[in-house]
Amino acid sequence: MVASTSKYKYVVCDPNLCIGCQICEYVCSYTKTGEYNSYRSRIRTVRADEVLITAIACRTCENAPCVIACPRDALTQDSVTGIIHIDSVKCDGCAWCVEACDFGAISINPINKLAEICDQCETLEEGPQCVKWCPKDALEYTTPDQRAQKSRRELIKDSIEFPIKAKDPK
Amino acid sequence: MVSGEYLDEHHKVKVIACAQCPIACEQMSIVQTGPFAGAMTGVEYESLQANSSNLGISDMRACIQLLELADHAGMDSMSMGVTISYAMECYEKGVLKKEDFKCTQFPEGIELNFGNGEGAVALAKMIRDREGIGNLLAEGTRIASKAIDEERETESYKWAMNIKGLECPGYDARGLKTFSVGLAVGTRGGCHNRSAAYDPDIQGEVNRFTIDETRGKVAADSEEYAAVYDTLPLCKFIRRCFTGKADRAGAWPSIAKLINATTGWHYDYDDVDMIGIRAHTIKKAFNIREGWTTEDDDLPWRWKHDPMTKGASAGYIVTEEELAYLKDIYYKAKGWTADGMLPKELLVKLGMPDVAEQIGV
Repeated sequence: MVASTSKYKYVVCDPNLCIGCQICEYVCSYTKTGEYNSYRSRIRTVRADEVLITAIACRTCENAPCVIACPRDALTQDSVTGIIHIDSVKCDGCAWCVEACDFGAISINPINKLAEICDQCETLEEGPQCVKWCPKDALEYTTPDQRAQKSRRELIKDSIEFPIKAKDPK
Repeated sequence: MVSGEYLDEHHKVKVIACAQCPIACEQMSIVQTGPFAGAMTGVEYESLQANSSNLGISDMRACIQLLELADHAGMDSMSMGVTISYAMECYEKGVLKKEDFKCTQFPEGIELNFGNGEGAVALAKMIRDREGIGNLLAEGTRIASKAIDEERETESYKWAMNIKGLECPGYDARGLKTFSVGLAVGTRGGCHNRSAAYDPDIQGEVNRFTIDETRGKVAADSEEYAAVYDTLPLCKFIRRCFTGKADRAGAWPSIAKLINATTGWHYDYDDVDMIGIRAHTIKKAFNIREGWTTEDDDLPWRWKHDPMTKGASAGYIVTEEELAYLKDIYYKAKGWTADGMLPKELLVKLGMPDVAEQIGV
C-alpha cells in the first residue's frame, strides 16, 4: 500500500462512499477551465473493479517526488500549504512528474501538453469545489489529525463484532 | 424473500453510478451463502421481477446468480427470465418433459417447476451455451413456441409472453389499459422503455381499468416523450425531474435550454417536439419497410383471453374489441391511416420525403 507522508491538508476520498459518478471531475474541470471535460480535471475517479471505486487528487507529499523528478525545476512546493505549483513557462510537458507520482495525481493538459495538478482551489474562499459538490460526501478536505481520527473510527468499526453494530460516530 | 428491503439488508454491497449521476441506481449485490456464493451483479426492478417472482423463485440468491449469468453473457435479463418462465409453464403443463432439459450438469434432465432456482440457473446456462433445448430457447419465446407447437401439436403460444418477439416487461397490461395499446403498437415490441404509457395508468392520471377516446393520444405522447429522452439521451429515472410530471409542457422548455447550452443552437418548444415525433416516425417507417403490418400490433394471447385471478386487477383482460378500438384511436392520434401506415403527406410535413419514397407511399 502506497501511503503519503504529508503533514498538509489535502482532499481524500472514502471508497466506501464513492459511487463513481465523476461529478468531482466535471466540477474541477468547470472550475479550472469553464468546460465540462473530465480530461481537464485535477481529481480523477478510478474504478478498479465493479464496486472498488475511489477518487484521487494530489496528496501534497513531503519531499514531493514530483518536485524532485522535474528536470527543469518547474515544480515547487508551498512550504505552508504543501500545494504543488507548476510554472507553465518552465514546464515542457516531459511528464517525469507524472511518472514520479505514486498516486497518479498529475495529468498532462490535452491542449497545451503541460502538467496539471490539484491546487486545492486555493484562490477560492470556499475551498476545493469537488468537496463542496460531491453528492455522497465521499470527499473530504482534511488535516493529518482529521485523517488519523478517521482511521481510529474505522478501527472501532472493524473491532466490534456482529451483532453489535457501531453507529457512525460523527 | 423478494423485496428491495431484503436485498438491501442481505445482499447489497454498494450503489454505483453512471457518469455525473448522483442517483446511483445500480444496486450492486452479492451472494454470500449457498451454491451460488460469489455471484455479484447490479439488481433493478425489471431484471428482478423477470428472474424471481416471475419464476416463482423466492430465493434472492438464485435470482442474483441468474442476473450475473445474463450480464456476463450479454443476454437481456428480462427476455431471459420470461423465456425461462415460458419453459417452466411448458414443463408444468406437460408440453416439455424432464428429459427435454438434459444437459451436462443434469444428464437426466431438469424438473423445471416454478420456484426451482437451481433448475432455472441450469437452464440459463443451457441458453447461454445453446446446449440442448437451450439452443431453441435462446431464440426467445416467439420462435421457440412456434417451433415447439409445430413439432408437438401443442398450444404453448398461449403463454409465450412476447409482442413482436420481444418479451414483455413487468407490468401486466390486463389491468393497465392505456399501457396495453402502448405495448401492442410498440415499434420494437413489448418494451416499457419506448412506451411509458404505464405511467399515467399507475399514477392514477387515467382510470387504468377502463378505456376512453383520450388513450390513443396518451399512449402516443408517452412514446414521443420517451423518444426525446432516448435521443439526447437523458435517463428515464429523471423523467419527472422538471415539473413533477412526465409531460412535454413542463419538460420541453427545460430540455431546449439544455440542448442550447450544450450546442449553441437555438432550439425551442416546437423543435424539441419535432425530435420526438420524427424519431418515432422513422422507427415506424423502418418496421413498415421490413414488412410489419397492423396485424403485428398485437398483445400476447394470455392478456386477451386469460383473466387475472388475483389482486386488484383480478378478472380483467384486454378484449379483441378493446384492442381494436385502442389501436384505432392511437393511429388517429398519430395521424396515421386506419391500418397503421404512414401517409405521404405526414412524412412530407415532417421533412422526410425520402422516407416516403423508401416505404413506397
